[in-house]
Amino acid sequence: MKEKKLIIVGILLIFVAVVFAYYLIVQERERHMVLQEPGSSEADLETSDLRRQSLGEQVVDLYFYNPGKLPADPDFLVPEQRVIYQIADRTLMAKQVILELFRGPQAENSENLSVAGEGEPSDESISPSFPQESRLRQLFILDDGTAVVDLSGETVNQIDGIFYELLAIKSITHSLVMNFEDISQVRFLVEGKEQDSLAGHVSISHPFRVE
Amino acid sequence: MKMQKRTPSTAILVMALAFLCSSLSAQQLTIRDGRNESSIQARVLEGVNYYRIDDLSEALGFRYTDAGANLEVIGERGSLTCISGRPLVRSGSQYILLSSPIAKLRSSGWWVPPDFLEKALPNILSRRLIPEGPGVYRIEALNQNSIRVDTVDYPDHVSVVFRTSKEVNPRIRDFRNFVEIRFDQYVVSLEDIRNPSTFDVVSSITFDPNDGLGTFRVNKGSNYGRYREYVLSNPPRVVIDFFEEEREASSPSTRVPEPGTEVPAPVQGDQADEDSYLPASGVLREEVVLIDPGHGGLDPGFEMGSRVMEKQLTLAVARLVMEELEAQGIKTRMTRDRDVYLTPEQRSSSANFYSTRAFVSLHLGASPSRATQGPVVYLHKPFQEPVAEGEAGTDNSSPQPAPQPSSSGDDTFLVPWDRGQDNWISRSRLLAAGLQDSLNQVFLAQNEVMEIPLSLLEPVRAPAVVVEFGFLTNPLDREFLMTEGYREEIASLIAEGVMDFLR
Repeated sequence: MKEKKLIIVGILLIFVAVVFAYYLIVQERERHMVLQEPGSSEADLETSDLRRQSLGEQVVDLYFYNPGKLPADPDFLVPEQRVIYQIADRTLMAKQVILELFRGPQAENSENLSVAGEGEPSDESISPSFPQESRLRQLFILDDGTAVVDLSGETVNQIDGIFYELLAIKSITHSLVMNFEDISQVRFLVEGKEQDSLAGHVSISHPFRVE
Repeated sequence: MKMQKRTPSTAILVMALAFLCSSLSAQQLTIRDGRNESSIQARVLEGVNYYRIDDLSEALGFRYTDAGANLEVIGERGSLTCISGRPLVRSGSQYILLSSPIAKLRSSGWWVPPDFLEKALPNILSRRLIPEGPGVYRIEALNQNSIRVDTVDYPDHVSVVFRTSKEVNPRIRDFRNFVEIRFDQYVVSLEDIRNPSTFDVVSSITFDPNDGLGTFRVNKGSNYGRYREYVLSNPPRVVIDFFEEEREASSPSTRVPEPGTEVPAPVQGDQADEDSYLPASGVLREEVVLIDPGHGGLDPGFEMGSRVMEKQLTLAVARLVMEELEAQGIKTRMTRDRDVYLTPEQRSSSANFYSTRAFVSLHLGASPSRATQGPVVYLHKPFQEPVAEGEAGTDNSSPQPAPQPSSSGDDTFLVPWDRGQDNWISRSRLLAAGLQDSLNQVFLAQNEVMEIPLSLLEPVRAPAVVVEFGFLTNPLDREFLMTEGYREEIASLIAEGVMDFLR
């Protein structure tokens, strides 16, 4: 009887040990998973997929840069209307908004230049808010109304200076918060990670709201 | 009975096994103390070996206290403050930058990266750690250095000679009322201080054996003007020549402190003056205006073709600003004076290292549109939890107010790294407004100051701003910035803005 008890206790102990060791290993791996380069999670959307899931069309306002204005100006951003696919999944709709934002304004009098291009200043009335080759890695919407926007490293590398960083942040924040009732603030990640700043200057340790 | 005894011992065995498994790939650390040898297990986090503070404390004989997110490491000669997740260690008024952050793990407490041993611990231990190979250190008592001080009067100066028994690399720092000399590699034993000077350039020489490893102070007399130091060998000695005021007053790089501009609120009387300048901890910090030329080294900042680089323009203008301020007798420092890369942490740490009267970081703007033009001055807006809509900013609305900074620059309290700027916003706002106004003049702009969360300024415990003096993407601004005459004008307007603020 005593021996039987001992065997049961022994088995129990081994079970506990295995669970504990497993827990330790998982914990360690989780840490590494957070710290290591996450696999590329391309947010590119297949147009055919979107069309298949589409419930119709929806008009959204994309907030681009109002040329010559500064962040302190109330009309720093200027909206342009765009039609996107209406889809049951809100995340897919928000992704479409960001991708359209990256494509830049489509209006005729828009300025579409790369900053390195030298030429005569045009009298454009709307200007892109992101570099031409911008890429969205991922986008999530959390239950508390926070949209998490994960930008690629190449995208932020092309954004130089406080002004441009602020423009990029405000343009995304405005375009998401103004179009989606369930998004109240936007948090930014770069290459899947939390960073001190978006591109060296503006702190992104907290989410942004529309002011 | 039997099984009750068994449970804890088996559990310990299992834990030890599991720990061994997870630390197999880590390099262990060996510390030799005479004949004793202790091994410390490492753990690999983010590809770096980490050592547990408990193990180090046992092997090296220091104490530590854990206060939530802060760790206080206490040695015979002082203490270090570490914050979890930050690669910075605070030692007195200095910040030491480590290659990896210090980590507090939920299960096993505090862990430090390997360079904590070489960079941080020597500041507080009375014994030296000598690397003997990868992961092997030997502990050795610090050597004694016996020092005799002689004072010699010359017609035009007074020489103070420190005769040392060993070669030294002293640290000499200038303060308002005295010059401080430390020989940090050795424990100093004082032989004698001889021949007090009869000239009132140097009033007295004192030695404090309990300040670090021993600290000398040469107190300045009423005729003091400037000093010059020489470190000589054979026989090893350090000579500091003290000159009278009038003789060198014309020199541009003179160390003469301008009364009234050096310290904002001078106190009457020598002794009282010195006391007011001394924070409670006894640490003295130089009062400076700090200019931070943006980018540098591997980080060119914004580039326009190969001939216009932001890093070069910011450095050129920073030099001009510094010249202008120094010419007005305002002690000025730069975070970098050549083409080197600095991390944002290094820049903010510099500002907190000095007793900074104003921190001005120089940058240039870039915009996707050519139309954006003119200078913009930015200051930090603290995030509030959650970020408030509309104007954030009245300083007292901050949810966790840090202790108020006192006027004497006393910083004996510890403020979280990312809340350093919180109590300085209103002063920064004043500095920003002045700079924006004066720069608007030269650019013929009507731009406004912008308040946004900035990672560079967030930790700075001083009035601090970032100035983007023009847009390189605007053809007019660019032409402006490429012209030397205009750069000079921009620099002198920035200097003027700073001087107005200091007044």
